[in-house]
Amino acid sequence: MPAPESGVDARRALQEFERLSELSTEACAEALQALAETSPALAAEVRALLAADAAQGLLDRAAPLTAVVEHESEHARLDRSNERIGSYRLVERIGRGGMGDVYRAVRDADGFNQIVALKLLRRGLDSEDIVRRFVQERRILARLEHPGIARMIDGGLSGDGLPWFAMELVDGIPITEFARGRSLGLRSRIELLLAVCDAVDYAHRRLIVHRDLKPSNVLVTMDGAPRLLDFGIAKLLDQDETSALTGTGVRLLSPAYATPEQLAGEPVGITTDVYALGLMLYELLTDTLPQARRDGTLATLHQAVQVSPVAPSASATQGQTSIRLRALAGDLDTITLKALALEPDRRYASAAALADDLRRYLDGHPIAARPDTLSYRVGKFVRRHRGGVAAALVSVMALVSGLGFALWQADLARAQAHRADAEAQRAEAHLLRATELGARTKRVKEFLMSVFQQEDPLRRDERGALTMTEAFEDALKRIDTELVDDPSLRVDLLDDFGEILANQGRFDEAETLFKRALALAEKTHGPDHPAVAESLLNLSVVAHFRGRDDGSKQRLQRAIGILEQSAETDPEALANALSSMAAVQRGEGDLVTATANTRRAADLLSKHRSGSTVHLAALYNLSILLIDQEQYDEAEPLIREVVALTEANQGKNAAPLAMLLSSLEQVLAHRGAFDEEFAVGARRLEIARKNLPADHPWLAGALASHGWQYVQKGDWPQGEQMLVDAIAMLRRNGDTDTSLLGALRQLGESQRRRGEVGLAFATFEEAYAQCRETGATNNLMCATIRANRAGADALRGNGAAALAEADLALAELRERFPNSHDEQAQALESRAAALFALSRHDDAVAAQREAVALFQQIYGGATRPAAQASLDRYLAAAAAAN
Amino acid sequence: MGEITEWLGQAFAGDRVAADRVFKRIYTDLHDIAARQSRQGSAARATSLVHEAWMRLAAAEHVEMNSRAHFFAIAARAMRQITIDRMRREHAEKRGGGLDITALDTLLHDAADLSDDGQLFELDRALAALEAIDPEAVQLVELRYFAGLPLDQIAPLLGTSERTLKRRWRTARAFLHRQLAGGADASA
Repeated sequence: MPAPESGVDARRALQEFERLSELSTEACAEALQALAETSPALAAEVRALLAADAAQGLLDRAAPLTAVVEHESEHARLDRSNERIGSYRLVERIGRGGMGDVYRAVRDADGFNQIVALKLLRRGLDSEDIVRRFVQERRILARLEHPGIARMIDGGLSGDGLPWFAMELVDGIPITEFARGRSLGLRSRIELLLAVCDAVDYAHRRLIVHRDLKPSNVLVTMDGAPRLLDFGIAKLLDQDETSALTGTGVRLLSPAYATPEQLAGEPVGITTDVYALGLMLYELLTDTLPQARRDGTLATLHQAVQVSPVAPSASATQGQTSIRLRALAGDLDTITLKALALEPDRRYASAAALADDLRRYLDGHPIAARPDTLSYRVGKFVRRHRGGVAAALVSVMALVSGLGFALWQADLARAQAHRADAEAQRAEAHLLRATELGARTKRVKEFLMSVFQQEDPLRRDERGALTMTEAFEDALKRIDTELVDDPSLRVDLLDDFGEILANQGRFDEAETLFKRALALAEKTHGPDHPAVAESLLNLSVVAHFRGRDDGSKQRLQRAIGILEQSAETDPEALANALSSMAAVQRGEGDLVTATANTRRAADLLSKHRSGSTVHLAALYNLSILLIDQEQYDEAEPLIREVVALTEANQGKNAAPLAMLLSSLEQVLAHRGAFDEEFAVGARRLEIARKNLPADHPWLAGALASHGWQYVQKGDWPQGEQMLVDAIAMLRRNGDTDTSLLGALRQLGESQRRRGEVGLAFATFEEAYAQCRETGATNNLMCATIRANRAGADALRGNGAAALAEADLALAELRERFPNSHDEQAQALESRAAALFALSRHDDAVAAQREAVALFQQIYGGATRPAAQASLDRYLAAAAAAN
Repeated sequence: MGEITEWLGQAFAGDRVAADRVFKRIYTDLHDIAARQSRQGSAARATSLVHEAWMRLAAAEHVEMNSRAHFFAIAARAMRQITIDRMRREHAEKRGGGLDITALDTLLHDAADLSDDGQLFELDRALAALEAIDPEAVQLVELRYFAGLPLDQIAPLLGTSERTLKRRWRTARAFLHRQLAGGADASA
């Protein structure tokens, strides 16, 4: 029990406090000093009183009685103990919740005595919304079978029509009380949380987010095994949530354990549970919650979650914990604070990732999390990720369409520039706060401080406050002059700044920086250092992105070699290099090797960064490669998983979905699931419109794709209008590759179908001219366009020219793209049309028969009506001629 | 003069039996009022519990106004007792292996975060320690924190100025928070 130090007269201390508390700060300090000389113990006690005086606490809150008594009177009114529910007898009520009450109940049917916890919806609460939620919980529990989760046993409707379910009765106490009560040591406490992480991760893998993890929902039984309870507000990630009750509103939260995004009413995902696990870890380590949460009412909590909590080792009050707070400094602080990051995407991506780091700590291995250092914070100010993350995403986009992420990043950068002043101030505040930095970080600090110097009216020179861009340029110039003596830091900064330039689309300057970083890294660290690999990787990605693959492959090969050999390799860096290599190989048509490398990248990331953005990117890349190879059955679950995880982590309308859903459309198109494809297309377009700036390539892609879906539905005016808009957008963007060609091809196809053969020929001609211009005539898209153009030409009556072109296209497709059955069938149709135009009716019939057979083969026996109609026409003409 | 007035006077003259009777009576009243108020919903709660208890008593028993101070002091103590009793029961339930699924309730009763029972126990113990040093300060805390009365209404009851009460509240608060925060470690 806390008490003043022995020997101190408490009354006297209070008198002194009363006297000193009226004084000014300085006078008070002096008086304390004087007191300390005569009576150090008394002075210490008075000092503690002054500290307590300054802090918030229990007594600052409202009177508790009203609530308490209310609680009690309700309690008596609604108790249904001794009633029978199903084959159970309610023995006593042991818990009350927002939706139902929990009873200890006995099953005494079948001469078999089983004690369970029975949760029953409370009378008067049976609104549609709550009943749905209750049934949802039952369904969720039924999905979960794990030793760390209280098991569901039975369920049904009570005599008066209320839903109930019985689950395993967990005879335990809240995890934090268990740790305290047994005075567990550090290791045991961490092991306890590891078991919880495993159970939570298990639920996540079944796409269930708990959303209300707190010590009272994690009971530990006598044998020391924690059990997860109460999935009452859990969420199924693969299901739309329509209930207002459990939406993003805060009504169902326990304020002290709510996450920032829950308090802000933002979407929750897996990382919401990661945050809650972080709080539990914090409480296990310190026996207390972060300060703001201890005292928080909902209103003060909203304020409090705007700032990161203090590290556990610095937690102001040493609770009754047996753990020495100092022991937490370092890795445990880092791990806890990473789990408690305010932004969900900076937390561990999964409960498993948090558990991995805790295990690494226990095993004495280096942990994966990095402290939220100054350089990180400032880095966040200029861009969102350290290292090759942006690069990896660039390569993802390279896989998709050769365009994209960098441009998207550029948009972000532009948006950031608008907020530059505010951000600069915040960054400076962070800078000033960071005082415990190592020598190297201190260098970074000084350097970056100087970047913001112009923000300081007392220190800036005559140029005045700089914009974000100006500050960046200024810093760029000074890397060389001011960091001459620290080459390794210079390498890092050159690489980082190069990435920023690349993301701004300033590729020449970026390449220059990367080349300098490479040379410097080789000189400083030798040829086989990971820093060399990073520069190599950056160089290749930029070159590949610009469509210049000279030397990319060799550089990537070398980077991969270095990263495979080095002991300190960040698995993410290796995965990035493998992904980039796969992008190059895909461009070369080597899909098998590209797939193997992508699988390896995905495996690495699933082991080390499960659920992270890069991991999802790798899975997405893999799905695209599988689609390339027409392995739709494997691609479909993969792409659906990526979509579900993205929705879970970033919300149902997250910008990346504007890209991810396109693969799903492709898969559905292949399956002939047209209605779903149309719905997904509409959704993708809506997301793109909501999230992306006008003319963004993803927006154009979504527009073109949905336009084509309209055409296929027969609504060609709407469809062609959308395709025309998309083409205009792509042209404004300077796009010249598959996105533009694809949209042109679809427009031409629509025109041909409605009999506008002249227009169709002109459109195909325009597309093929584009192919010639970029020298890309040998790719699949261009070969197909060539075949289509021949078909339109034949319909115009140019039989001879069309026949020659159709045959060339067909030969090209057969030779280069043996799997392109659909495209080959299109070429055969063009050939048939040309022969028909030349009145070679029997030959036309033969060619068209081949096309029809090929379509049937691809689409599982289904005939394509348009192709069949052509065949009938040719047959009739042949019959008439004979 | 109603018998409750008599009891109040006797109680303050040091009669333990009278004090017990008064206490039990007020305790029960407060309970009833709270239950009724809760049935009506929070919107209907125009006056504080302790005021309503006083008005009910005054109407039924013709209590003399000079007993008002005594009544409030006892009522405030009763409210402390009810609060702590309630917490003790809650706590026992939880330790008994129950399921705490009070998510909704905790939010509704945000102001009185029920899950913080540990702190309220400590407060109760800290008040016992304060009692030994300054009993009047304990009374002040009961009136202000447990009965929820504002200082300007407490001042006439205790016959002191609001200014004095402010200073004394500050001292009591510092003492209690110091105890809650875990006194012995803070100076280490």
